Amino acid sequence: MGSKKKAYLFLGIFLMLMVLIEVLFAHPHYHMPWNEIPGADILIGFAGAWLLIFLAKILMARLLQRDEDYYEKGGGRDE
Amino acid sequence: MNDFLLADSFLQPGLILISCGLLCLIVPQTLRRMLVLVCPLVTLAAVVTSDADRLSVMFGIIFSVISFIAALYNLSVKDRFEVAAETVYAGASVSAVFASGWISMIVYWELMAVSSWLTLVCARTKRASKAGFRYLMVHMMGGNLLLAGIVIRLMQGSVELQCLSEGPHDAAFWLILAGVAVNAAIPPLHAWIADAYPEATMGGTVYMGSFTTKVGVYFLIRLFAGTELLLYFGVFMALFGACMALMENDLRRLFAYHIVSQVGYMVAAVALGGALGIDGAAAHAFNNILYKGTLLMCAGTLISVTGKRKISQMGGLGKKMPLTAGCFLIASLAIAGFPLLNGFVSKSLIMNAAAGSGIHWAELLLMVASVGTLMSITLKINYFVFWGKTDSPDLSLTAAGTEVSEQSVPFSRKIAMILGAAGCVICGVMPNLVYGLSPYGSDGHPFTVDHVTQYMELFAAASIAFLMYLPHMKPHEQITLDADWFYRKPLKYAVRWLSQTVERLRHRTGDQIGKLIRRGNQYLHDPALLLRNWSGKKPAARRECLEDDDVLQKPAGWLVAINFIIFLAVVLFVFYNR
Repeated sequence: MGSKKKAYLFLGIFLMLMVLIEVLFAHPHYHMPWNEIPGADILIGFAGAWLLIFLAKILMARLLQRDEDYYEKGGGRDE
Repeated sequence: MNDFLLADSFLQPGLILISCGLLCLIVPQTLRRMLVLVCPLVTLAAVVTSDADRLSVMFGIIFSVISFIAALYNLSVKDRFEVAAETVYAGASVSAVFASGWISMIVYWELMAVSSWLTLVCARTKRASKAGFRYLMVHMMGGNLLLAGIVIRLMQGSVELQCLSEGPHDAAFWLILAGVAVNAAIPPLHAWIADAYPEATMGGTVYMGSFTTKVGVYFLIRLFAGTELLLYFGVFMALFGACMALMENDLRRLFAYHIVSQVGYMVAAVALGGALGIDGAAAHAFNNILYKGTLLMCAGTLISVTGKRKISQMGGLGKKMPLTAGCFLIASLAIAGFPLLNGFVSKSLIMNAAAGSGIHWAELLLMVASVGTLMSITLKINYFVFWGKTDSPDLSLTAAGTEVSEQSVPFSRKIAMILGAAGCVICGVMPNLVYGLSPYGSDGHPFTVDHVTQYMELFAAASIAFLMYLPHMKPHEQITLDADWFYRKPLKYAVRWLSQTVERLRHRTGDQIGKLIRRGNQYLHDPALLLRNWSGKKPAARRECLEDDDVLQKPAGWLVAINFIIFLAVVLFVFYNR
């Protein structure tokens, strides 16, 4: 089994364990709407990670990334 | 006037560090090393025994602690000017948080700006010099906005610092908020941080990462607690900083964006207000100084040893630099908010404040920002720089092609990194240490099952997404544009166009007008010429200052001089009109 598959397996088992502990023992101090659903934080973490990857690595990277000599191009001092 | 001076306290614990910094300019190296280690401890004692309120004492304690750790990290530095600038900078920061009146606030605020600029330019590189000029421009602008707001407050009869969020939102409110927002790196006034911090010396970055933004946060807490508008800015900062860090390739520039992100949590907490929000902001600033200081120290060691500054040029360094990698791992887990480390302790307070106030969207987005921190620091750097598989063996060599080794790292630097990492663990395992220092002593109940499982689920799920996107996660050899683009490109071209247009105009209108002005100028400087000219004597040619390259090449000097004159004029005006 490849190291990446092992990592997926480990994370999957770990998540199941966390949900089990949450269902059995968690008593939230503050009730947020998503606290009613066991394991909702998994969805927030996964969807949030993909949202940031999309925003940063796909959208913002295309808009904002330039060659490293961008500010040196065009001559003159950049102050 | 005497009452006015008495009401404002200039005698601060920070004066110990400021005096120490000035002494560093003249004493021999051995004594200088002793001074920079002893003075932060003496300052710490003065802070703890002072009768200031808990908020000032909390910031004073962590500023003294990080001054000691940073001085230890920088102990091998021989440049007396750098050591002096850094120590004065630390002292000005401590003094700023102990200021009780508007005047002492602005005095120490400006001293911070100048000493931090000197800290930056002590790197003595062309890039640092250019970044330093931009840094100074931005901070002088912020300082003048703050000064204008303070003058209005003084005219209104307010001498002591007081919370402005409950009063009228007048010009003074907005001017002071804008001035403080520059230091707190609130967008769009944040770009100086990623522009300047990576260009300082390795030790200089540790100082810069610890003070300016945190003093900004302190004054947001002191003056603007409960200002709802700041919540939007804070949440945006937390997400924006994480996104920029995900793209960034330059190691220290990445950390600079994480300062923006982490300060975002503090700004959001300030906006939430109440005991939990204020304690959350203060505790997060306290913890942030510890883990961000450790991260910057580790990054500095990495860059010093390898001679490289980009993530794409490094790889597989975990086994070659085990101590740096270990300290980095602890601090990177702390910044993400892993249980038993200090970031978790203060994030719990902020999350409780958001949840308690019923602002669900803010809590949700701050959770997403935590995921961004995990991906861009904990996973990205640990994988690509330290522990992941490398594409090329060159990545684990120095820039000169030699083997990477920690043997060349000074012993004092190793101890400083260990102390920083130990601080993250101690404050994480014993959260009451931080809670006990915070202004209201709120308990974040960090180790409840719901808190721990929440963060573990978030992080494990985000790790799965990171693994899925891993082949594309490695940063590119590119730079990312930020708000500094506006004054580095369009403003540059605008100034160039303006000067060229004026030059063309001057040529077209001929030298006659120029001659007339020059002659007028000569008579203005020396009216006696009028008499001499009538008597038939030819006037001696004056030195043409405006075409002197030396004068034009020193805009920073002019900027400081003009700011100082304006500052002095305003202070005198205020004193004599009371």
